[in-house]
Amino acid sequence: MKREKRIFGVIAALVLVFFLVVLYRIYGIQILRHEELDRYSSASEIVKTVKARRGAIYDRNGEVLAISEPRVDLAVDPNGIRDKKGIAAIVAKAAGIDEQKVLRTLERKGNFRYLKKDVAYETVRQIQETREKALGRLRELERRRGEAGSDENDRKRLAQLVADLNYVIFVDGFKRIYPQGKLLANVLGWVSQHDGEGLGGLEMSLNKHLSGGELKIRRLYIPGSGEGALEIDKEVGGQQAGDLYLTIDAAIQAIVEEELDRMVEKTKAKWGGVVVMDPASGRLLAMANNPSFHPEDYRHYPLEKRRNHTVADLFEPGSTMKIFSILAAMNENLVRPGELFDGHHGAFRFGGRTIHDTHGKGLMTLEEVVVHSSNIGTVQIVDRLASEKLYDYFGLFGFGKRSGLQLPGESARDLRHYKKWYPIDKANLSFGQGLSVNMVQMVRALAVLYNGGVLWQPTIIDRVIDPVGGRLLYETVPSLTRLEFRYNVDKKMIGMMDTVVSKGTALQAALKGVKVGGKTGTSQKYDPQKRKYSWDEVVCSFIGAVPSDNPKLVMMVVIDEPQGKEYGGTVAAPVFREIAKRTLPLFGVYVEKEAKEIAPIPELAVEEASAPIEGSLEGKEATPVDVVTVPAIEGAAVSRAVYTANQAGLDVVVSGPASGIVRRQAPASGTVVPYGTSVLIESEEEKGEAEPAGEEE
Amino acid sequence: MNQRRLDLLIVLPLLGILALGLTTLSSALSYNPQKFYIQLLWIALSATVFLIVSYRSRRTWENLSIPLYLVSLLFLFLVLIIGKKVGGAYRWLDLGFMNFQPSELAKVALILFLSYRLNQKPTLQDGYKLHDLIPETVAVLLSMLLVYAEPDLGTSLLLGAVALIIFFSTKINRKRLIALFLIAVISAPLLWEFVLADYQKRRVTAIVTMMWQEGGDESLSSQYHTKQSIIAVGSGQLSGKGYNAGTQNILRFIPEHHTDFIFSVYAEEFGFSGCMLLLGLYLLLFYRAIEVIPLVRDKFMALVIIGTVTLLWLQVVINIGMVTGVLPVVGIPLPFFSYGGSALLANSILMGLVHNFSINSRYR
Repeated sequence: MKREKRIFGVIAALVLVFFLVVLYRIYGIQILRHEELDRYSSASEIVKTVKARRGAIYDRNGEVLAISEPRVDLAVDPNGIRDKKGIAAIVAKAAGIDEQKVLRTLERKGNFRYLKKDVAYETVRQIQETREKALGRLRELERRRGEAGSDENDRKRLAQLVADLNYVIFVDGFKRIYPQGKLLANVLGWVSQHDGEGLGGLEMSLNKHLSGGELKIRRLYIPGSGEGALEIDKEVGGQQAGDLYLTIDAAIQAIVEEELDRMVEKTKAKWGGVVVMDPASGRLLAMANNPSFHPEDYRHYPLEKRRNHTVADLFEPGSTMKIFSILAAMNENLVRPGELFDGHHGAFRFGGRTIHDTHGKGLMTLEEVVVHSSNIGTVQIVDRLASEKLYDYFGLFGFGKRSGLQLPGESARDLRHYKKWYPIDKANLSFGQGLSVNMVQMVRALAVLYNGGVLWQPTIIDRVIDPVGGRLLYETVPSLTRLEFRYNVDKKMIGMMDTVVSKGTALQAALKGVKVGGKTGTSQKYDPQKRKYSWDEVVCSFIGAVPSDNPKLVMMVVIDEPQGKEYGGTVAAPVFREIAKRTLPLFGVYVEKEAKEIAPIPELAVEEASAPIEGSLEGKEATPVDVVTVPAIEGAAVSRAVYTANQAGLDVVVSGPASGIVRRQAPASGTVVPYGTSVLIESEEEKGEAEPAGEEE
Repeated sequence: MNQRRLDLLIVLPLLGILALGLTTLSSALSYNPQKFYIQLLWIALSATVFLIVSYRSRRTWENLSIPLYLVSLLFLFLVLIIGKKVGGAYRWLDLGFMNFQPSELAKVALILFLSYRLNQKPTLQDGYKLHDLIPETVAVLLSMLLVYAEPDLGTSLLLGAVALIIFFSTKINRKRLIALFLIAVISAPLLWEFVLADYQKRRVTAIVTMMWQEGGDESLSSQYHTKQSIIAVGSGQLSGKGYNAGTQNILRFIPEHHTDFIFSVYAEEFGFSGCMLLLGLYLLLFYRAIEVIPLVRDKFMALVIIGTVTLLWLQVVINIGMVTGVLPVVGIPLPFFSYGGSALLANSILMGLVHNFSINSRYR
């Protein structure tokens, strides 16, 4: 017991000594080293609010179509800079811009002016290094202040330089890069070089998803320790931008654009367009326009070249429409097998008008009506169908309904209600006049034939995904309506369309070893001045599916106003063939190599060439489709311009601020377009933005 | 004899430490109030246990000491087999409604077991020879080994240190002690060469290097935890940044800042004056406990008090040493202050015993 009692002192001493050691250590840290450590603690985090990096756009295989990368803009605060000449020299040299230009900017008033956008890293480094060096020398001079030989003027000059350089500003931002250049440009659109917001195409219509919100970024580091960040920049709040995945296949798109460009250049056409769809899902695989533009450089292209004609332009479908009107009559069992139709040798009185055919045949089978694209035969067949039924069938094929693609400026016109039809109107509609459609609507309708009756809402956007968490932000839910084909009429029509390609007007669309079905169309344009269809301006088109017995692709090719006497079969069908030939291997379909180029069979070619354009109506007062002349709205306020255009019967897509004034419009004023076409206008704030002095425009 | 009184100089410092701990926890756990409420429940449970232990006869604890030790061994075994893995070590038993740390029970059990066994032995004129202490030594080594296997080297060494102090507090033959020491010194290199595996050697050298480096003033350049915790402590200055104003805490720079590193949060928010207050309370508590040693009637009581004080005091020193970068980072919490239920309960049982002996010896 004694020993245990003696231990009291020992333990007490031990406890006390160790506690004093600990206390001394705490004292050392908290009191003696406080200043040094507090510097670390107070400045060890920076929370910056930055704009989220704009989401990328990918094709269906994850190929990058558009992506944003960090960039630095060089700006100055002219009010803060006193030695303007000196700073101009330094900045001009580092950024590689004209010194006089910089000086002029510096001499203007204001506290923020851009000098150059997207400067090289080297520029930033040089200017920062100049400042660091000046600061270093300044500190040294300040240490030796008052000593003999120290130059007070030198010190003042350096202090001035350091202060002035603080007013040279580096603005962090992003630049939009389109790694595939012009590919899909008219669909993708473009983003403002000024604020990075989407101004056209998908970049505009999905701007909300792509641009994201403000992000709070936290950076933890010990200043002055040279250790860099302790923690990687961490997002602590705000909304991340979404990445956009399209249904477009970049590989197919590239082939399509190449073939289209070739034909448009060859025929010196006004424009050309191709839409390719997967009939089994309604997904668009390619959507090409010519002319096109480079989105990174959009300012250098006229607005007309940036339009997406495949959705924004309306046209009269012409002969291609016969597929659907005849199909409707067949599905209602109004055509007897083996029935013959009287061709009336090319002229047929109907509803007080004369309808012409190019070939002037006698009796024709159903197949011959389709293959020879006989207006007279079509009118007789479709006349058996009640107007109401025809109207309903057109609805089931999607005519008069917008495609619902999330592309800005889709033009679509409601189908005139059947109760307002004149007797001649039904005839007119049956061979594709008196209604206007866009290319996507036509492709969608053709897919109905080739997929057994499903009318898809076409999709181009597959999904939008949060690139950080992988969360699905948006997804296109496919929607569809169904048309029930009876008596295998779809198979019969598909067979007849194969014949069009193998023996009819679309010989140039044929491929060896693969069945191709399709239909050509050649529509005259209506000239409101002359009040008649013009011979000089035609829209050549081809719609088709391949392989027609197991279709992988449905496609429409439009070549608008080719030079010379051209037809759907001579300019649009070859584009279809070339695209099919090159893309089918991607779907595992074998295409036999042709020993020689298919020479158009002279007889048929001559027949088509000599034939007048199908469906022309006799009668001076014919008003087949409403057309309007685009008014001049450039220079007007946006709201005024929209009102004017709407009054004229046109839709408007505004690219730019809604409060500004219209700088450009497309189509140009005076152009005649179908009623309901959308006009693209580019607007700007009335007061011009402070444009960077060093940037060439 | 059975006067039911409180020794206020034990209870008040304890309550003071608990209050400071809770204040700091509410700041450190402001993002996770759920945990804070759980800690409140643990405190309520521990206070009840403390009072029960304070007024039970010491006989109960003598009778319980051997079963308790066996139970603790069982739990230490169990945790190796069915334990919950946290941070690469099996230290927790998941009891469904709570997580339990068997190594905390082992501390209580070992102190009681050694005190009871040594009290049973007759006091010898020349002190105990080493072979007299074989069963106790084996018991200590067994506990240490099982804790080490979790692996929890820190707690294992802590157990060893407490046991050593208890042994030295009783009378041990001095010649034998020197002999033992010599054997240990001679055998150490042999042990190093032939018994330890390579990874174990690396571990030892790592700890030694770490201690050596951390001990110096270059502590900022080494480990992240320690670096951050030193910054936090250092930025506290004399009066601290004030409750809930510690930036290091709010930013959660400091890992484990509600358990092992809670002191850094406290130091940042309450400054040097706060640290002096806290250490003062610990000192008062320990002094009041040590003061009882000359008053108690037998070795059991004396050794329990010695063991308890040693255990708590070592934990305080090691924990603060670790937070301030003097000692390597080992998982030792600050008693009655850190977040955690098992440790609080174990410490409350031990302090309850001290309190029990204190009122029974002082106010007899």
